[in-house]
Parts: sequence; structure tokens; C-alpha cells
Amino acid sequence: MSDERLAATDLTVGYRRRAVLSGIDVTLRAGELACLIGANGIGKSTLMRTLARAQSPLTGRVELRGRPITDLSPRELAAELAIVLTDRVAAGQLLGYDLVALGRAPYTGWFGRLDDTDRRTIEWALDTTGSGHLAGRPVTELSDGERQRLMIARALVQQPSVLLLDEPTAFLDLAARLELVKLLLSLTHEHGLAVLMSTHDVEHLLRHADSVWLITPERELITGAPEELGLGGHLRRMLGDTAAFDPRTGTFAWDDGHAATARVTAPNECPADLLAWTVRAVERAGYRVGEQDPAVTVEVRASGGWRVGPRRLDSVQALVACLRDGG
Amino acid sequence: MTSSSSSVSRPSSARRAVVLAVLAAAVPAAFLATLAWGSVSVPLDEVVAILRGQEPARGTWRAIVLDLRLPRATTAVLAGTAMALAGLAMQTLFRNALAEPYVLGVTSGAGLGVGLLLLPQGATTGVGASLLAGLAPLHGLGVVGAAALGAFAVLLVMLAIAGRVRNMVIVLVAGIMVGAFLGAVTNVLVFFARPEAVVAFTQWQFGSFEGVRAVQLPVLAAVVAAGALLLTLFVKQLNVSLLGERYAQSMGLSPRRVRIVAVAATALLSGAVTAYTGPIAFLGIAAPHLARGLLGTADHRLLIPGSALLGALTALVAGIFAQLPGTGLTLPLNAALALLGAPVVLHVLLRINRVGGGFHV
Repeated sequence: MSDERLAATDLTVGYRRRAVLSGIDVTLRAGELACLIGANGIGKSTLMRTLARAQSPLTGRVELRGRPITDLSPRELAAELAIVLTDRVAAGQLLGYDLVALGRAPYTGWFGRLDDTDRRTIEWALDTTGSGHLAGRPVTELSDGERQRLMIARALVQQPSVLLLDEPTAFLDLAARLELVKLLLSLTHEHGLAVLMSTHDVEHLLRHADSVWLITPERELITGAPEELGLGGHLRRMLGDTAAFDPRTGTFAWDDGHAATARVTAPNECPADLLAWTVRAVERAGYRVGEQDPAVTVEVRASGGWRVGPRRLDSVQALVACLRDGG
Repeated sequence: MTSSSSSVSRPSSARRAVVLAVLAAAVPAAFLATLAWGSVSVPLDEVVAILRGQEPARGTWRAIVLDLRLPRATTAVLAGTAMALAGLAMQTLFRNALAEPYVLGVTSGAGLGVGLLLLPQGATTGVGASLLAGLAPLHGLGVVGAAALGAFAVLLVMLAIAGRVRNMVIVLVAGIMVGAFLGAVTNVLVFFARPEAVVAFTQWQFGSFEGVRAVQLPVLAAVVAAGALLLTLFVKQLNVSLLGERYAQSMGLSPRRVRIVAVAATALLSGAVTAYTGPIAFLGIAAPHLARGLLGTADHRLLIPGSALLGALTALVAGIFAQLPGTGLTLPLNAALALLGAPVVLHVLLRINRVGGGFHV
């Protein structure tokens, strides 16, 4: 297929004697944002390194635009596939522009001199990532989010068709995470890049990723649209016994299996956000919200506040304290 | 390109050109000063006349300038350039602000070579005497040969390690371990050596630009030129190495080749210099930091000439200072380098405040 960018066939990844993941058959297409999720140490980075040819597969093969990845020269590979790592880049007096310019390495000559095409590409990448204002600043003075943008700009000037990012949201605050997702969506949907990112930011990415590559605790790779994986119960199994996935909200929470049920009722005119945040408060107090055999009933009152049994509560703190006392 | 939002003014390319031009003018000036100043002062116009092949007003000046000071000044330029470039290569390769030429253990190798030559001297009994007999072939080499041999042996060991080990930090630790081991062997030799032999060895350790004879200069110059050329040919790879080996590989370069080139160039540069002048401390770590600070860049296309000029300049000025003009006294070179250089470097670094701050130590 022509829009197939990266394809793995019967791939086994791992180290000399130890296979980490095996039987991997997976495809990444142009314009697709895929998220690789799974527990720490399960093999996400090993898989990404193998896909990027930084490490050899134990069996099977990886194809980049239909060509076996092993057939490409280092330069050809660098012009097709770029990576963004969590490695902290902090070289003294390295300026933003110069950092991004390093990405032209596969195209420039022996001494790395930039020509007009190189400069135009760098300007474009700075523009696309919204980091033009960082060009003149030393990277050591930048925030993690700003540096991440420059590293992505650096990857873009390689003009790759595939971009692999290893936990790009790891050190970012909430605003920077949202900005990053927006950027990655524009790169895939508008510029046609194929992007694979590993992440622990599952709840967030489930809303945006085109596909999810999930490594189960049994070291099996399952792929599909986020909704398919949610409905199929795969996400629920991902964390084993540690936490429960709530397929209604797409979120994870602790579940000790012994939580009592609380029924939440509200008058018809109750605002949706008040009801939603009431449910969260009840869950925070250690209850599962539902209808069957409720141990307690929380009523959102039309006149404001809540009622639990005979008690009237005016603040969320009081509500949670009351529920923790057993209603 | 918009950089107006940045409150910090960054050095423009025009300012960088000015900095390089000033340095390029300062080096010949310091070179001439080295020829003119010392226990005997020779007027500058006479120095120029002597260099042009004319007869000076006093006959002895000719010998002082041409036979004594010209080799010393040339050695200072070569040694300063070499140590600065070697330090730059190490700081980039290890991405560590504290890296310097001697982290590879090259000095310790040279030191042991010289130690084996000098320290058993005069021993008539026991281990020293049998060592002396066993090392008879070393004497044909002289101090320079023994130091070069020691440095070269360490180079081979470090190249083997750099080419094989995956983690760059291991290479750094290996260099320090090799240095510690060889240093310990040298210390044992010092411990058992006769006092006169220890004095001779300590003299070597002080460092000096004066020991190099005119006939040896072309050899030193050739090795330094080879090391500098090697690094210049790899500017692009050195630039990309700033991001670390994983990124370098992802951008189509061979990190292993960069490692081997940087280690080989550093060992050549620092090994040759150490063989001829003794260990030259301080320059290798300071010059690249000064160059980064003054030029405001991490680009090796500017840092290589910048560090080389700063290294040469520092070495010349320290050499003049060591002569203590007008006093008839001389200081050990390494002491002069640090006495003069450390406050200057500290001042510049604190003023610029950001130099090297970006290194992840």
C-alpha cells in the first residue's frame, strides 16, 4: 500500500539471549498518530529502537516505505526517519537555531555548511513548531517544553516521513503537553507524517491518537483505534491488578475490589458539570458510583449543597468527610 | 528570524569576527613580546631586524632571540594550540565541562615513560639497579622518546576501549582508571628513587617550553598540525556529537568513528606536547570555555580556531610571566599558567556567567 510508511513483519526484539517482545506485525501509515503504551520495562523503548534501526531485531524485519530498513544507507535512513528522545540536550552556548540546523546533517556536505534550501527548511521547521522566537537563545536557558519544540523542529528539518518520539511528554507541564499534542496532530493530519510516540500519558492520548499500540503485561502487542481497545477490554487489562480502567470515562483509577456503591441523584435542572464533579468527589471518597445495592445515596440539592441521608452538607470537603465516615 | 523577545543579547556574527580578529592579532604580538622580554630585554625593532636576518646592535641579542627565545615561543604556540584543541575535543566527546586532554590517561603514560627513564638513575643496588639495567634501551630514546612511547601505549589502550565500549561514560572512567594505575606505578618508582633522580623527574613535571631544541620543532609542529587537521575534518561530526551519540546515529553519522577520531587526535596532540614540554595543565580545560564564552557559540567551525588562538595566546603570556622579566628569576611553567590564568578565567567566566553552565556534569 502506498501510504504505508513503517511496517514490521514477524518481528522479535530484545537483546542477545533475551527476547523482549515477539511476533510483532504492525504498520504505521502516512498521516497517522500512533501511541505506544505499556508498563515501564515492558519493551517500549526496545521496540522503538529496533524500528529506528538503532538496534537489530532478533528475527523478522522492518520496512520503511516498502524497503527493508537494513538496505538503507545511514544517510538515506536519516532522511526518512527521525527520532526525538528523552535524553537531556544541554551543550554550553548552543543556540536554538544551531540546534535545529544540526538536523540538516544528512543533507549537508563534509563541513556542514548550510545552503539556501537548508535555511528555508530550518525557517519552516521553526515556524511549524512555533519556536521562531527561540532561535537566538541558548538551549540551556529554555524550559523543557521549549527545548522539546526545538528538538522536534530539529527532527523535522531531516524531512522525514516517519517520526518516532520516546516519551515526549515526560517532563512537560499540562499546557506544554496539550501544545505538543496539537503540534503532533498538525504534523500528521496536515503534513502527512507518520508519527509513533511512546507515552504514559494514556488518558490524554486516548482522545487524540489515531491508533494505539498496547503492550499487555503478557508482552503481547495489540493495535487498534483507541475506542476499539477500550471496548475490547484491553485497556482494562493493561495495568493488571493495580488499577481499573473505566470504559465510560476513559480514565484509570485504583480499584481494591471492595468499594461500596454510592448512588448519586440530582434534580433535572442540575448543571452537568456540577453532577460530574460531584461524582468525582464521591469516587475520591472511596465509593464506586452506580445504581445497584447502593450503600449510600448522595443527593445534589436544587437549592445548593448536598444531602447524604439526613445530613445536609454545604461544602465538598464536608461531603467527602461525611462519605469517608461511612455516610 | 525573530529573536527580539529574547532579553539577552547574543553575540552577532560581526562580533564573533571581531573577537577572532583581535585574537589573531594578539597572538603575533605576544609572540614578539616573548622574543623581546626576559632576563635580557631586546628592543622590539631589534627583534624584528633579527627576524629579518639583519645584524642587531649587539651580537649576543641574535643568539638570545634566535636560539633561545624563538624555539621557546614556537613551542608555546604549538603547545597552547594543541592542548586547547585536545580539551575542546574531550569536552565535546564526553559532553562534560570538566573533561580535559588528560582524562584519557595520556599524561600518566608519558609520565611513567619519563619516570622509568629518570627515576632508577644512580641506583646501584636492589630493584632500582636491575630496573636500570633492564631499561637500558630506553636511554637511547631520551626524555622525549620515553614520554612519547608511554603516551602512545596509552593511546592504543584507550582506542581499543573507545571502539568497544557502548557507554561513553565508561570510556571516561576507563581513562581515569588507566591514569590512576600508571600514576601509582610512577609513585612507587618515585618512592624508591634517589633524591637527585626525584628532582630531575619533578623538574619535568613542572612543565617547560624551553627544553625543545630547534631541530625538534618540525616534529612537534607536524604532529600538532596532524591532530588539528583531524579535528577540523570532523567539525560537522563534532557539532552533531553535542547532542549525544544516539542522536548522532539517528542523523546518519557514525558515533564510533567520531569517538576514535577524537580520542586519536587528543592523544596525538596532548601526547606530543607532553613528551616535549612535560605535562601542561590548565590550558586544556580553560581555553575551550573561554572560546565558548567569548564567541557565544557551540559551533566547532568557530570554536576550533577560537580555542587554538586562545590556547596559543595564554601559553605565550604565561611563558612571559614565568620568565618574570627584569628579575632574573623564573617560575615553573605550570605554576605560572595557573597563577596568571586561573583568576583571568574565573573573572571571564563569572562575567559571562553562562559559559559551560549548559554542560550536564
